[in-house]
Parts: sequence; C-alpha cells; structure tokens
Amino acid sequence: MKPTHRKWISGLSVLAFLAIWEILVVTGGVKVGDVSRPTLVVKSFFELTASGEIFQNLIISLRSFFMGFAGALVVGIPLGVVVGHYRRPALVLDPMVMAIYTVPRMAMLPLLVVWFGVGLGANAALVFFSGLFPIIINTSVGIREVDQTYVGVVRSFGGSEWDVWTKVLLPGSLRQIISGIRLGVGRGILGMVVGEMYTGTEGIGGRIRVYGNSFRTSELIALITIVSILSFLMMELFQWLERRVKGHQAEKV
Amino acid sequence: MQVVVENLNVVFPQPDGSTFRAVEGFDVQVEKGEFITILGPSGCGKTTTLLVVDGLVPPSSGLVLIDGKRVTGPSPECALVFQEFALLPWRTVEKNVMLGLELQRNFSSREMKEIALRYIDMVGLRGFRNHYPHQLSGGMRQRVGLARALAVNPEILLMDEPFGALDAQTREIMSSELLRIWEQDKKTVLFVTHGIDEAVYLGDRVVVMTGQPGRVKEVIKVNFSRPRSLEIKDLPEFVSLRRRVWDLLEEEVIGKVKARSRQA
Repeated sequence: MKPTHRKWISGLSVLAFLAIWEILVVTGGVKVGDVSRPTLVVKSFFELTASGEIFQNLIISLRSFFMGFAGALVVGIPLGVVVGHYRRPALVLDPMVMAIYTVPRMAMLPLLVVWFGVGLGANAALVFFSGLFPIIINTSVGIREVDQTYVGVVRSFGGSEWDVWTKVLLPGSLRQIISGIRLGVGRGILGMVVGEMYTGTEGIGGRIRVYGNSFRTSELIALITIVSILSFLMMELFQWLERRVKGHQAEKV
Repeated sequence: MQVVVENLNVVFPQPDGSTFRAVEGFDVQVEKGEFITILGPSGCGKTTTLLVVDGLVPPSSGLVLIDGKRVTGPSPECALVFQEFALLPWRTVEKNVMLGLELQRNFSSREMKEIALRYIDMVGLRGFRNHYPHQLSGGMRQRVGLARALAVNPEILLMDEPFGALDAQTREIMSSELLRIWEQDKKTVLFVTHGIDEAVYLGDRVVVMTGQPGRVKEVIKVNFSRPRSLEIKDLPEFVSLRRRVWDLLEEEVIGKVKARSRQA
C-alpha cells in the first residue's frame, strides 16, 4: 500500500470515530453522565483560547517543565557519561541511581512540596526527577556500548583522552543519548501535569483538576488534548533527531 | 634495522591472580622496506606482538626499537590496520580516512581533504568518498581501513589479520591489491595472519610462531621476485614452500590438540 493511502486511511478512521461519537451523543444513543461530544470540545477550546486561559496556563506549565528538564539534562548527561565510562564511580553511583529510580516519582511529590514549596519549585523538581533517570540510564548504556575497537583506533593514531571522547565516545553514543532525552521528555510532561494537578489550580494540570472537580467534561477533554498534542510534538521532534543520527550508524562496522 | 624486537615477553595478569604468557622470547629484526608476515595458530600472541610494536600494549620485558628508539607509546611512524576494519560508522569514507590526520593536528582541513582523496583514489574507491561504511562491502571497508592507515604516511604499516574477515575470493584480490599499493613506495610492513597462502605470497620473510606462549619457531625466506602476481601460487616452488610452512604449523596445531585431549 502506498504511504499516502495509509495516511488517508488513518486520518479517515479518526474522523469516523469523532463523527460516530458526535452522532451517538446527539441522538441519545449513549447515556453515561456527561460524556460531551466533539463539537462541544472544539467550542470550549476556542472559548478557553479566547479568554487567554490556555495561553496563560500553558506558559506556567512550560516554565516549570523547561526549568526542571534543563536541570535533568545538565545533571543527567554528565552523570550518565561518568557512570557509563568510569568503573569506580559507576560502582558508587549505580546502586544510588537504581534505588532512586525504583521510587515511583509521584510518591516523591509531597516531599518535593516540603522541600521546594508549592507551585513552580515542586513542579520543576518533579519534572527534573521524572526526566532525569531515562537520561542517565540511556547515556550510560550508550557510552558503555561504544565498541572499544574504535577507542583503540584513536589511540593507535596517537589520540589523547580528549580525542577519545570527542571522536568516539560522544558521537558513538549520541543516538542513545537522544533516545534517553526523548523518553525523559515523555516522563517530564507526565510529571508536569501530575505535579500541577496535585499542588494547585494553575498550569494545564491545575486547570484539568479544576474542571474535573466541577464535571465540565468539554473543557476537560480540550485541555487533555492540548497536553497530548504537546507531548506528541516533542516526541516527534526527538524521534526525527534520532532517525537523522541513526541513519549514520545503522549497524556496527 | 628499522624494527628490532629482542627477547620480547608479554604477560597478562588474569582476574584469578594467575598470569597468562602471551608472548615469550620473541625476536625479529626488520629492514626498511621489508614485507614481513607473521604466521601462527590462533591465540599464539601474533596480534599482541603487533600491538606492542605499535605502542598500544607495553612489553612486560624485552626490547622494542623503531629506528633505534625505544617504543613507549603510539608514534606517528606506525599505522595499524585492524582485522574488523574498525571504521567509525558515523563517519563517511572520506572522514574515516581523515581521522589519523585530524588526530595529528598538522594539516588544514583543505590539506586533509586532499590527502584523503589521494589515498581513496589509490585504494580504488573514487566515487565512494561520501558513502558510509555500512553501505560498503567487506572488501571495500578494508580498503578504507588501508587508506586510513596510509594517509598518515607512516614508515611502518602494521596489519592485524586485515583480510581475516573477508571471503576467500575477496581475500585473494585484496592481497594482490595490497602488493600493488605496496610496490608504489615500499613501506615496511608487519603483516599478521593465520593464512599460509597469504603469508607466503605476500612476505619477503615468513615468521612462523609457536602456539601459547608465542615464540618464533622458524623464519622462512621467500625468494619470489617482485612484483608478484597471483599466478605464482601455482608454481611448484610456491607449492613446496607452502608445504614446508604447513608442516611447521601442523606440529603446532596438532601439538595443541594433543595437549588439550590430555587435559581432558
């Protein structure tokens, strides 16, 4: 089947689903509380946009996301590199990383609130901890899996430790690092929404809680859609980056 | 003498506290422009010897001199060609060939490009300079490996079973290609292999090694005139020389099998 045909079929199936949903609700075929329907969702989306509610809260959410995630990158990549390459630090850090990794991030939230305060502090911290571990783990695996023969090549040409890093270890693990970042973005967005839902009424997560508590399903679905579009776009971006790098190292040579 | 190896011993400590004697009392003297092949059963320390000459593995004892100077680490005089090609998969052919030049930091990027192109041409890969290693066949990859080593213009070319990962036909073609390229400026070559045919066809002298620990069993002079074509492999002299080398090697291999069956 041609790729364009496939796209058409996927698009049509989504449209068909929305149409059936709309029709079932309008004709009274479905009788479960207030399930809302696509046209109402679109209407409330425009209302929320017009009032500036979406924009304001999106800014609040993204601020805590980027603060936390920048921290996760700055800490996670170097830590992953160290754990991946040096045996002694790995022995010291590995158990700690694993211990913290096994704690469900959401269970840490009350603690983070105490430490960093409700709002931006706790939310950014939750994003940080959510995004951190996929980055550390993927970076360290990426570094560890670089073929040692390549290191031998650089050394045999008289390359220094610095050359080993810049010519082999970093380029060789780039794909894996990006894939860690991609996973981290997904977890980070999850952390962002959950943190906001738990700690306040601001941010997209906060609004989701507010509308949820008052059973306003149209607004609720509109907000959830925004979150999913946001993570979809971020994932696509990193998947695209990953593919670009992957093309160059399709197999071990 | 350009390369002198005297009473070389290499011992690797094992995790269980014991030691593994990889090379024991290895001697060889190589003249400038000589093509030496080192032949031995697998695991006999051929590769280790080569890595010691390259300066990647320190000798446990003994002397390794290049141009009269003691080898203390990798030097620009030597370039190594790897068995598994070891091309960086994220670099194009051209960038791979440039690697050694980049690491020497003596050239502008334009000069490096020019040099790389010259050697890519020499190994017959014109038109493939923007390909990635995974787009090339095994033989082509090793041509890149050879170009990469030659590009730094070493005095000594160290080759670690460079055609070991290739199929039989490609292997034949590559060895005659290697001789064609070698004839152009006759660098000193130390070529490690476990292929008897290859060792006799390529070398001025064949150093036959014993198995574990690696020692020199015998050095055989090969007197065929150069340039050599693949046809010399059919000459009766070649066949009898190969027979002689095979007999030497057979003792080693069979000795090893017997020793193993005694253990079992």
